[in-house]
Amino acid sequence: MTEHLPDESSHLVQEPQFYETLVTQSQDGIIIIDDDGVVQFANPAARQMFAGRAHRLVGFHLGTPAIDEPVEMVLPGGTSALEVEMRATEIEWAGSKATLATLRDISLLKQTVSNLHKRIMELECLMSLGEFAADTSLDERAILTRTAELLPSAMKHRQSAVVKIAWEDSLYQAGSTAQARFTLRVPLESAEKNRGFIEVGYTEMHPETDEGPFQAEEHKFLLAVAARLVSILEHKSVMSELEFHSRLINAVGESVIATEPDGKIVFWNQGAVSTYGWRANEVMGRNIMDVTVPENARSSAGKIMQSVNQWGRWSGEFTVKRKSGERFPAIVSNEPIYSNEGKPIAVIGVSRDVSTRQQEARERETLMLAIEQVPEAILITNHGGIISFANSAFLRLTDNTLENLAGQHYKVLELAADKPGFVGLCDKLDQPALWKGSITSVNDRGTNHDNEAIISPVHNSRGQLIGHVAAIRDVSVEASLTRQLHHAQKLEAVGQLAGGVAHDFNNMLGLILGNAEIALDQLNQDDVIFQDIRQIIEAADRAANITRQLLAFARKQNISPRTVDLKESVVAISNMLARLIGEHISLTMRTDSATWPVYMDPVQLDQILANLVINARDAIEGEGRIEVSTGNASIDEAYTLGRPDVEPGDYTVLSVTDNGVGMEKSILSNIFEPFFTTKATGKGSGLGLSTVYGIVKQNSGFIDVESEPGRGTTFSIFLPRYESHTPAATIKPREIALPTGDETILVVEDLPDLLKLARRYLIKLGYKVLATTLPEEAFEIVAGHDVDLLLVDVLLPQMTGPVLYQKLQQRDPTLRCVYMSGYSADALAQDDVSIQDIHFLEKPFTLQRLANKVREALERGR
Amino acid sequence: MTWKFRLYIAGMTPIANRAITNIKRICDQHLPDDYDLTVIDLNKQPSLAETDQIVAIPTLLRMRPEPRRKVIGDLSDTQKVITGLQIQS
Repeated sequence: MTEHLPDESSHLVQEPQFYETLVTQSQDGIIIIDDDGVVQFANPAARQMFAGRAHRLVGFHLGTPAIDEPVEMVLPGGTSALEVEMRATEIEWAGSKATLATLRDISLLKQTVSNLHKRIMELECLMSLGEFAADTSLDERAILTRTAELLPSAMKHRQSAVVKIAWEDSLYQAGSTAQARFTLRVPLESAEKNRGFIEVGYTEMHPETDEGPFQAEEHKFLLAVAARLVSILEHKSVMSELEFHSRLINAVGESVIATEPDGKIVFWNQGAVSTYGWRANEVMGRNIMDVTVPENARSSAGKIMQSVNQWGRWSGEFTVKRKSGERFPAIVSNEPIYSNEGKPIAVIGVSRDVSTRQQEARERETLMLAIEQVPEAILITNHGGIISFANSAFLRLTDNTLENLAGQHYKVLELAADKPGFVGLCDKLDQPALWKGSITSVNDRGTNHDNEAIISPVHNSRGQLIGHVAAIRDVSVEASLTRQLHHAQKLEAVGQLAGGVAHDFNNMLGLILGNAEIALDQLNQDDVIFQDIRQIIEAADRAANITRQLLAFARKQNISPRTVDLKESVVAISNMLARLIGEHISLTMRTDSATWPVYMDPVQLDQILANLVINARDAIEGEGRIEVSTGNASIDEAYTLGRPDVEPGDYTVLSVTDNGVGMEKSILSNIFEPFFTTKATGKGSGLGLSTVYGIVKQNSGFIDVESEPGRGTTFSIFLPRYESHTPAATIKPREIALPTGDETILVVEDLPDLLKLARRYLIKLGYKVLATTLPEEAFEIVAGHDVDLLLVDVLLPQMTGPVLYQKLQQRDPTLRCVYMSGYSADALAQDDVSIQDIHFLEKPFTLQRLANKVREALERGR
Repeated sequence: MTWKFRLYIAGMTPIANRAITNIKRICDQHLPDDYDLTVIDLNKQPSLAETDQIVAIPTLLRMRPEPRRKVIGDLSDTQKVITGLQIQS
């Protein structure tokens, strides 16, 4: 302003009009007040300021200004209060002290500052609201409470402002609006729904000149606050809902993953963390393809994503991978989310690891297959006795289907007359404790089978009975095998007993026979007792024959096995066999030229054939037919399953078939027992088939019998095939002449009677005989004599015959030997003596057999 | 004789506060125990201002002793207050 003032030296300032103009034209009010406080001068601006307040300013008792610096004053009254800044200076006026006061209207400035201040407060208030929105720790209640506390400070008259906020059914207050003289209420609305209000009140009157107690700005501000508050509360509600959903989604076991349509991961729940091994912060923003899809499955995964985006939901099983790289099958369900415009904005993928479920399913399937396929019949019922499962074996044995049985009470299994099933099974299916035992089943042909059954109650983890399981096993084969075993054991025991008796009996027979022969030798045929003694010899011969058969059955027969051509042997004996059976029965020989050889004593082969043919003959009443055949058979493992006595391998088969009366099954199991016979008393000894049995067993063979009453019988003898380069022998005709000699023979036998008998036989045959009962003496005798042959009992008290021979042979290697024994060659085999080089003389022996054996031994040595 | 004053203010503004403080100080010094000060807030009692012909706030009005005298402003110029109110002993 000074810039525009004319220079003080100019003539203008000299003019009184200049000052008058300044004072009258001044925008500031200028007044002069005397010491009594009365206005003495007022310029137009001052008069304007007090217009309506003081009737006439000059002369008005305004008061003496008492200020030492500019002071803001309020000029009340009028249409609205006027705010002025007053300055005061002491002057002289008309010779007295007075005060020059200037007044500048600052209403507009004050209003502006006040408005600015208010805007700042409002801004602060709104900013605070923004902070509430961002503060996740604040819930709806806290936000409303704080807003109510905050709002008065943003009001124009903050000191007297009170606030009440109503939201839904709750009230939040700062001060009490009930005491407010003036209130202003704005609604809280969302989506045109009224949810409450904000009410502001002033407890004091603040008259505003034109707008009443609340200014338009305050109203606008409150509307803004209301809108913002609703927005914040809704956001909070949405956020808390989102948080709730997020927690919910995290709580589910399934993996929930959200991606943008291009596969970018935007959500990854806790289930996904557990399933895939990636934490959410590791995968956010990455492509789902890189994270969960194995490389070789990406093209099909891409097609799925395409199809989801294009067509909507896709679900199915898919192989995915974990962070570790491990692959696993998952059930995946993908569903797109669309914008309001129908554009896909995201894909929600829910997946579940089914590897465990698949594993469990596989295990369960294996278990079911196992139960289904076990040979045992399995039946499962529940607590009420309702059938829940029966396996194939059970269904087969009861001629049922699972469809018919499942859901039925087990009483439907009660055995019906015309149906196969189990006898008494139903009585066992409600027992509280484990039951084990035998149950008979009846098959569709009415045949009974033996079964072993275990019926067990089934309890759950709490120990409650929930049903029964029955496991039933057909043991008819085992039962049959057991019966066979018992039978074999019985035959074995009988054989041992018979063998033992026969051995002792043989020695006695030997004495009877020997002494009778010596006595007969000293008699003329005319003597009275000659025929008597001859009958003694014949009877003793028959008795010896019986004991031989018993020994054969007991497999203690002395044998001289060799390679035998079965077909030739059969042909050779056919004439003798034809004589045995008589003319009314035809005998056919059918031999296979390729029949394998066997290794056995030919005498035993004769015994087998003779006994079987006699047996066949006796089975034929009147005319009939017998066929003897030879052939080969290869026995495999399958055949031996039901025959524990049979070894698999190649066998030579000798069969004797008749068309006689045949046998019942009950008889078949006993036919090999000694003295068992169905023949009339006196017609058979009961030892024929026992002899065959013993011989076949001794030669590691077996017998198969097929017989049917009225249709005849076939005995098939299976003898192990013998593979040897030595040519097979056929049976040679027996030597009849009594061979003699003059060589020196040493006899060692512990039984003095037998020793004496042998000595007398040998002397009779022309030999020089040295004899002793003690093996030790044999050494002395040999030392003093030139002994050609040793005739020695196999079993001696001090040392065995073979040991004695071995020791004597060390002194005289040319010494020959013949063993005497009531037992077979088994005893010698145990002493590792070569069986084939040794000559046996079976006790009891006749003079003929002794002569033959001794001569044979001496000749072989030459 | 008890001096009686009325101090007119319009709300508890900083100027009003200063005026109250200043008059109390002056009275306590010059009229100890011998004055009666009434503060009248025009916002609460607007009618009195007209009666007392108050056209500027703050105004301190000496009611007694008669005649009435007025000083205006924040009363920071103590000398003016004393001479204006004629409370010079």
